[in-house]
Amino acid sequence: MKVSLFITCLADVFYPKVGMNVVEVLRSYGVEVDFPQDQTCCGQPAFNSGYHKEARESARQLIKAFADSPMVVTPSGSCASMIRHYYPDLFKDEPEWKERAIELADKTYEFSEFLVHVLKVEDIEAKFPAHATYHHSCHMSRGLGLKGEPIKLLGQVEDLEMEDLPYCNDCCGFGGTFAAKMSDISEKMVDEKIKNIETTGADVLIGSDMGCLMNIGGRLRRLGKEVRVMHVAEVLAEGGQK
Amino acid sequence: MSAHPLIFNERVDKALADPILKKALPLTQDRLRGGRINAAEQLGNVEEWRELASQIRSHTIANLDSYLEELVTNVRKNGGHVHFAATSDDAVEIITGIAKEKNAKSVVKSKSMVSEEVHINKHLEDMGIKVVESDLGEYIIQLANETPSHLIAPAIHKTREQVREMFSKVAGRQLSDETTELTAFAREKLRQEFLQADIGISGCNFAVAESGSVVLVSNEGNARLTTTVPKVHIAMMGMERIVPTWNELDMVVSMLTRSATGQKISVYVTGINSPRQSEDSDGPEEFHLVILDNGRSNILGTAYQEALNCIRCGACLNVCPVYRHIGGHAYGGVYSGPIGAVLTPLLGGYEEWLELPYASSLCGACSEACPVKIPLHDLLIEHRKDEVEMGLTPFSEKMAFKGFGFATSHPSVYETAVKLAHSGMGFLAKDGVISKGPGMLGGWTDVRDLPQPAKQSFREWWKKEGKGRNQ
Amino acid sequence: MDLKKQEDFLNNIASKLGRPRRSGVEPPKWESKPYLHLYEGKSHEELIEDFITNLGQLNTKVDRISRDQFAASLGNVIQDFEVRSTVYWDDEALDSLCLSDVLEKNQIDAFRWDPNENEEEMKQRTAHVDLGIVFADLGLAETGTVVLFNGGGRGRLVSLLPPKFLCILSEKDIVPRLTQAVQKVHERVSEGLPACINFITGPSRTGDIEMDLAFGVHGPGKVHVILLKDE
Ligand code: SF4
Repeated sequence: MKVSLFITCLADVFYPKVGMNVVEVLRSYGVEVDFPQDQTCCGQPAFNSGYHKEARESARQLIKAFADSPMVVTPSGSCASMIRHYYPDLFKDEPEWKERAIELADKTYEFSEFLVHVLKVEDIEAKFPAHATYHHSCHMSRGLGLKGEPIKLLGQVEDLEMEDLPYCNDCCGFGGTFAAKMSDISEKMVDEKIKNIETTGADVLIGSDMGCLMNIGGRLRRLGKEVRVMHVAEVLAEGGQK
Repeated sequence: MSAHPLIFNERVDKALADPILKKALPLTQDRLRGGRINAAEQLGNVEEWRELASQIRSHTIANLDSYLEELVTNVRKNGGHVHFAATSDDAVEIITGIAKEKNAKSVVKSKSMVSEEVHINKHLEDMGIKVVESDLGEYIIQLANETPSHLIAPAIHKTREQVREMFSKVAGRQLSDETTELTAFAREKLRQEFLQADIGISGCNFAVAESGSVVLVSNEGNARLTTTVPKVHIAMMGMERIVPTWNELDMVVSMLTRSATGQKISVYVTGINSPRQSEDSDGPEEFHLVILDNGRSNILGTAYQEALNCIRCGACLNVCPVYRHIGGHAYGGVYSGPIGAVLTPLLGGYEEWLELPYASSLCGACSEACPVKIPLHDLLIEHRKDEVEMGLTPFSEKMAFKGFGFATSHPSVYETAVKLAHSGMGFLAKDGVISKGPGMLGGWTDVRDLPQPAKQSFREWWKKEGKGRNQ
Repeated sequence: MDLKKQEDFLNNIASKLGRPRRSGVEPPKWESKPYLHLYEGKSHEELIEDFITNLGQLNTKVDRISRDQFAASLGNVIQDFEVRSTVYWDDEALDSLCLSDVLEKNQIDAFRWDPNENEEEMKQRTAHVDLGIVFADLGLAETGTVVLFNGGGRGRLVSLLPPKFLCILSEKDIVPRLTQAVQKVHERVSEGLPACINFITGPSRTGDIEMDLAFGVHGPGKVHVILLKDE
């Protein structure tokens, strides 16, 4: 099986290790991974801010970059949701691009989704002794309807004790430019999220979107809290050497 | 829309600093959203209900002229009076005109958001007419001289201590802060008002076209009193609040109460079909229906048309994490929460309501909760798009996204930018962390740390070592 | 003048919708019936039980009795609710239960909502009695709702002004849910509806003070239902 990795701009620049871990996990299942170098960003920052012309420019680039890929895997529920939900609509007046957008949408998978639904992974061979909780990012759980998938994967990791996160459906306050534009509201949201994380007693917060994790992690750090923040792929890869 | 003294940011700051809101909002939200979730679980197939409710609303709005015509024909046939109000001023003129003609001294009102839209209380009071809100929550905020902060729980920002103080003042004696004592006082006090009132003004949850009926949904019974005791009843309705027949009413009422509080049905659902009939000895002698446009028709035929499907259940407020922290008043308009952020700029224009579409993290909780499936967060993006296209966004932002569009569509430029990110932001970083950034970054770093871009980006790693390792 | 306003108003809607004016549109037959599973396959007996359970959850007791137990049952309500005075509908269904006799035996200061009486006096009296008594047209099992087609001797204020409310209902009139009730209303549209139809589900309530539930803020705070077994 061959897939292309869509790293996402955030992971590319800030969290390359997440990308490396995704590659490592996929390869451990015999998947051949490539990385089309012409990929940039899915365009979501522009799209969500209303700059749809600019978002289309990014989208075209991404569509072109993955034109020859049989499948695309990305470690971000949010970017996958951007491609799947908004790309076709973004090109509603350009039939040719719309068709290509739908094609990309149909072959793009979020990381956990790919593992559970395409690879049908049932027996993760990982051991990660930790007390953890999971953050359901909005675009992944609502946008893509993926809630059980990462939980299912993490449930197979040996010695990983998962706690339910209270108010797990509530947004962490990231929201892209929202976090900067309305930072005072965002602050209250992320603080509430952190309060809920703390009630679980978890030492590790696991998620599937580096945007949320950058927000929560950045606030945790600012507050001097010790909770470690990790992507699902990091847990699976780090726990892989059992 | 209201002329509000504070700009958006100031209203938000004020709300965020309010200790009462901080306590009351999550409490109310949790109760109401919990109720809705339970109700949905009881149904089991809530998605099918939402789908049908949405179809019904969309069909009705798409044929609004026909159903309104049918409605008013039937209202007249039943002996009621119909008034079309294109603007808020028209509505005021109509209602004050009726009050003048009836020589009214006092008016009781049951909850009506439309009446808030046209500030009818103020206009009636200016004529020397006493206006009393009878919904307990509305009565509380009327005494406090405030506006509702929630669609269905208008006084959630008031504590029992505050209520006790206000009620005690009216009563002329000290009341305890027991809920039962406070409500008993309100019952007694408002009952007197009802028995004296010349006119009752109600809202309209739904009008039924086929029979010319106005249907009111309430738990307290004040809507029944308003529409039964005074000699004249005026119902104020937003022009979109209509269903074709009683059969469709079933679906929208079932969704309204379940989504609002989680009740399978409200305590009272009251169908007002005509003024009193010849054999009756209660009920108003006159019935007036005021149908208000006030900017709604401008939404028809646009990307926002679905916003008119709203049945004002408040579910989107109850799940909104932004509303949870800033409450209703910070939005500044009559309607708050996600639906307020969508609707207010449509009714009042971007000039005054530029920031509202940005008061959302686009988490989509609202769209998921909405019983008539309005894609609320998508409509907020639509607003932002319109603001961009109308050139209303700041120059620096425009430039930034122009650059973004260019870089992301030119891989070599993008790659260079990625490569430079680490060192480029190096001057801001300390131990790999940026805690104070300039410009937009400042908003981020005011609240949280930002990691310094990695020394080696993923794409560089791939080129150097990642590529060759496929087994 | 008014008609012109109406035409302008409606024409504007049509033009904003980007099409010519429409008139006489009827709703499509909705294929989906998401409510069916809530009651399909339930026997009438089960519906009756649902009705009773649902009202029970709303602080409302239901006595299910045969007609000959009515006097005793009403006696209990009078005691429970500490009733000294009452107003009741001028309604054959209540007469057939000999309501006025039972009230008299219990020495209740009772009066009938009589459309021929002085209206203002009736209103004042109704505002001051302890209990209002009506005979409902329908009961809805899913919600514990009673449906009242008011009009004439069936005054709206009877179920509204007194602090306590007694509703009598024949169990044969229990239907699964709102769906059947609105269908009945729909069928009656052509012959003309009464001025007011009430759907009432338990006692008047409010949560407007700190979400703390309180009963009886405007309508009756105590409700009791007597359900007559079919004979
Ligand atoms: S937008 Fe939807 S959820 Fe919000 S108040 Fe309207 S109907 Fe309810």
